[in-house]
Amino acid sequence: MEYIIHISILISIYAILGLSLNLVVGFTGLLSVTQAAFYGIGAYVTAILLTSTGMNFFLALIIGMAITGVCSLAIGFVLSKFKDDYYALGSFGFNVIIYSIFLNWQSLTRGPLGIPGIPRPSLFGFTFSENVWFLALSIVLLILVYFICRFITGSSFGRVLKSIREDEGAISAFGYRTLWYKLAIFVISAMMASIAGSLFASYITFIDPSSFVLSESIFILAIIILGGLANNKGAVIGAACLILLPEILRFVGFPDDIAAQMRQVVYGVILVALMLYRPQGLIGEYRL
Amino acid sequence: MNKKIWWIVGIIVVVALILAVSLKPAQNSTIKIGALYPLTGGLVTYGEPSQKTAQMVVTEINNAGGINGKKFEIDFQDHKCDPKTAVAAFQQLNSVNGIKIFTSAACTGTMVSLAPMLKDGNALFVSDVLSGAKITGLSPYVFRNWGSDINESRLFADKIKQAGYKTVGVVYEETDYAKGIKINLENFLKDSGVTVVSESFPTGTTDVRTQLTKLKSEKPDILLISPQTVTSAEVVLKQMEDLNFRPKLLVNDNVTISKDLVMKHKDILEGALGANYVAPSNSKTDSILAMYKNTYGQDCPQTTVCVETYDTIHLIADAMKINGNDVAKIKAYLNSVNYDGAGGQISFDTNNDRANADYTLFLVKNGQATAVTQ
Amino acid sequence: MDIIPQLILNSIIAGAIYAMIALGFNLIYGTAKFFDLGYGALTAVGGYAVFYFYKTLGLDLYVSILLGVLIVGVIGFIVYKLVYSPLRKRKSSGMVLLVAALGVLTALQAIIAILFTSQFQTLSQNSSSEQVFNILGGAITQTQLVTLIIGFVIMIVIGLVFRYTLFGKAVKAIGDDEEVSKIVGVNTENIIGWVFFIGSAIGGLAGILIGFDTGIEPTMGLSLLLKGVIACIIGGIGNVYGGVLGAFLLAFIENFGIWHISGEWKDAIAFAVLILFLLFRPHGILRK
Repeated sequence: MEYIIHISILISIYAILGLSLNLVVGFTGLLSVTQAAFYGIGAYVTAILLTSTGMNFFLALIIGMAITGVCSLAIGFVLSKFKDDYYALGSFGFNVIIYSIFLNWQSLTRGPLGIPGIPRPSLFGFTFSENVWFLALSIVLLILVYFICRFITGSSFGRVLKSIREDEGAISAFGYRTLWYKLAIFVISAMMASIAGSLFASYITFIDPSSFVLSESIFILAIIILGGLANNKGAVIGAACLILLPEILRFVGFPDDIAAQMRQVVYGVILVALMLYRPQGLIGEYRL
Repeated sequence: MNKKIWWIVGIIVVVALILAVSLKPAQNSTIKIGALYPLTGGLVTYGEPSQKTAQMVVTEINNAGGINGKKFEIDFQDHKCDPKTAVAAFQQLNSVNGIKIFTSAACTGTMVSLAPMLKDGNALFVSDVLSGAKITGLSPYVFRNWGSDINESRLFADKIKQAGYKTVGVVYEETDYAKGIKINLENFLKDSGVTVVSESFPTGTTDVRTQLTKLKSEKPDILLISPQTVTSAEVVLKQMEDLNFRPKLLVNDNVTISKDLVMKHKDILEGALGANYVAPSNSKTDSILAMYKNTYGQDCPQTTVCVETYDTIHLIADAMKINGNDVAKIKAYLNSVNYDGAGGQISFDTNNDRANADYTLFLVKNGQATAVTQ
Repeated sequence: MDIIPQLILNSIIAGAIYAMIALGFNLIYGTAKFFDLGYGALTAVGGYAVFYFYKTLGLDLYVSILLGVLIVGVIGFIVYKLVYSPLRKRKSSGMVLLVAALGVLTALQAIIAILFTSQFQTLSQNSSSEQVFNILGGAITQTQLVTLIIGFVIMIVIGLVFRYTLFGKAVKAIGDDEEVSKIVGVNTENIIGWVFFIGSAIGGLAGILIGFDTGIEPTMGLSLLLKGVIACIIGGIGNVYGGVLGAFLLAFIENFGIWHISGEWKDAIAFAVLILFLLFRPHGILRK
C-alpha cells in the first residue's frame, strides 16, 4: 500500500509540473525546457525556510512561489526575445545556470551536500507525516492547480495565448501586447512548478541539486508530449504513464545485471516510437 | 474525445491493479532481501562490482543448501543515486513485495532520504560503500559496514601538520563525498596556520586542465586529489601528467581503491599518500577475489567493494538464518554481532557504524598502494 | 611561474575537442535543421568501437580507428533512416525531432553500457609514455596536437567540398531551402543521408580522440554535445568555419573565466555566453 501511495504522490507532483509546463508549451507554443529550475527554486526556498527558521510549510510554499515568480519574470523576459529552437536552447541555458547556482551557492544551498531533514507540512497542529495524508494534500493541490489551469485556458486570456501560438504576428496586429501575455503565463507556470517543488522537498525530506538537472526538465517535457499538448487532462495522464513506466519495467523480468540499463533502452525507444507514430501524444490537441 | 480519456484512464487503472495483484509477498520457499545499488549513472563503478559480488554470494549460499533449507534470493534495484528513484524502489520492495532486509551501496544522499521510511522498524539496511559523515547515527535501522570519511580527512590533516606543510592544494569533484573531504579537512586545519587553496570540477567533465594549472601556479607544498569516482580520478591524474604537474600528493580512496589506476599512473603517484577504508589482504580475501575472477572472467575492479559486499551479504544471511525475517530481532542481533568476516571482525558501535573502521594510510610505491603501519 | 601560456594551451586543447564536435554537429544542423542530441551518444559509440577492435580484439591501431569511424557513420545513417527521415518527411517540428533525438541518446547510451559495462575506459596503452611538447612554458600532448590538426584538416576539407564539388553545393542548397532544392532536382533524401553518415563519423572520430586523450564512458556525449552546440551558435550556426571559431572562442572564455572566478562555474559561464549571444548576436559571429 505504501508503494501505491508513494507512486501516487509522485504522480501528483509531476502532474502539477506537467500542467504548469503545458500552459507555456502547449497553449502558448513556447518551447521551454527550464521547468526543473523553477521546480528547484520552489524546493530550495521551502527547504531552507523550513530547516533554518522552522516556518510553517504553507507560508514557505507561498514565499517560494513569490521568489520563483520574480526569478521567472527576469528569465521569461530574456527568453521572450527568442523564437522556436533558440527559445528551447536559451531555456536549456537557464536550467544549467540555475543548477550551477544550486550547486555552488554553498552558504545558502549547501551545494552538493544537499539539505537533509526537511520536515513534513503541518497545519493547525496537524502534521502530514503519514504518507496517506501527504497524498491527500498533494491531490488537493493538484486539483487546485488543475482548475486554475482550466480556468486560465478557458478564459479570454487563454484564447489570446492560443492565438499567439497559432500566429503571433496576427494577434499583435490586433493591438495585443503579446510580450505581456507571454510573460504573464510564463510566471504563472513557474509559480505552479514551485508548488510542486515545495511538495517534493517536504515529501522526500532531502534535496540536492541533482534533482533539478536539465534531464528533469526534459522529463517534464516528455510528460506533456506523451499526454498531449494543450490538454490539461493530458498532462495528468502523461505524468501517470511516465511515472508508472519504470515501475512496470521494474517487474518485467530482465536479467538482473542488465535490467537497469534495459529500462533506459525501453524509455528511449518509447520516446522515439511516440514521436514516430503519435506526435500529438495520447489526447493532445496541438502538435509540436 | 472524452471516451478516449476514459479508455486511457481505464488502462492505467487496470495496469496498476495487475501490478498490485501480481506482486505477492515473497513466497515461503525463498528468503529474499533487497539490494539498492547504483546500477546506472556516475556511481555505477561501485554498483557493478557490488551486484556481481552479491550474485556470487547468492549462488554460494544456495549451493551450500540455502538459508535453513530455503532458497536465498536478492532483488536488485537501481537507485541511480537519486533520492526519488531510491524511495520508489524501496517502497516497491518493502510494501509490495514484503521484503524487510536490505543492503545498499553508495550515495549518502540516497540513504539520508531513505532513513525516514524506516522509522517504524518496517525494514532494515546493512549498507556498504557508504562513507558520508551524515550516516553516523542516522537511523537505528541503518547499519554501515564501512568507515566514515571524517576519519579520512582527520588522517590527512594529521599528516599535513606532522610534515609541517604550509600550503595545501585541493582539487575536488562537486559531490557530497568529494567536497565533504575538503570541507572536513579545512575544519581540521582551521587553527594550524595552514593555507588551503582549492579548485573544483563538475561530475562528468573531461577537462580539469585550467583548474590544475591554477593550482600549479600556487605551488602548494602538497596536493590533495579528491574525486568522486575512479573515472574522474583517472582524468585528473592523466591531465596532471600532461601538464607535468607533479607535486607531493595526497589522494582519497577513489584513487587507491583501483589497482589498475594506481598501476597505470605509478610515476606520478610514486610516494603519494592515500587514505582508504580497506579490507586487509589475506588468504580469505584472496579466495574471494579469485572466485570473482572465476565467475566473471575479470578481476574485481575495486577490491574493498567486493570483499565488504561479500561480508555484508554473508552477514545478512547469517542473521536471517538465526532470526528469520524479523527486523527487531535482526537489529538486536546486529547490535551485538561480532562477525568473523574476510575483511576483519565486523561489529557495530552505538551509532550503527562499523566499529574500528579506521582509515588506513597508504603509500604508493612502484605502482602499488601498500598500507603504512604506524 | 607564469600561467598564461598554459592557459592559452588549455584553451586550445579544449577548443580542439569542441571544434571536432561542432564540425559534425554543424554539418547536420546546417542541412537537417534540428538539434540532434543523439549525436552525443555517437561520440561514445566511436570510442567504444575502437576500444573493442583495438583493445579487445587487438587489431592494428589505424585499422581499428578506420573501422570505428565507419561504424559510427553507418549507425548515424541507420538512425537517420529509421527515425529522423520519416519524421522530417512528415514535416515534424524541431521539438518533435528533439524529443526523438533524446530517445535515441538515452537508448544508445544504455545499449553501450550493456555491451561494454559502464566502467571508464582509456584507449591509449600507457598514458605515461605519451610524448609531451613544451611550448613557451606550457605543455601539450601528442594526442591533443593530433586532435587539433585533424580538426583543422576536416574543417578545410569540408570547406573545399562545399565550395568546389557538386555534392557540397547540393548540401548547401538543402541548407538554404530544402523544398526548392528538391524542385530543382537535388536528391535531398540521399544527400541528407550522406550528411548524417559524414557528420556522425566526425563525431565518432571526436569520441575516439577523446578516448586516447582522457577516456570514454557511455554517458560522455551529452555534455560534450552541449558545448559543441554552444560553439556553433556563438560562431555561426550552419557555418563550417563559424563552428570552429566558436569552439575556440568558447574554450578561451571558459578557461580564462575560471581562471578569474573558480572552476565550479565553468558550465554556467558557457551557457551565460550562449544566452548573451542569443540576445545580441543570434546568428553568431560569422553569418551563414
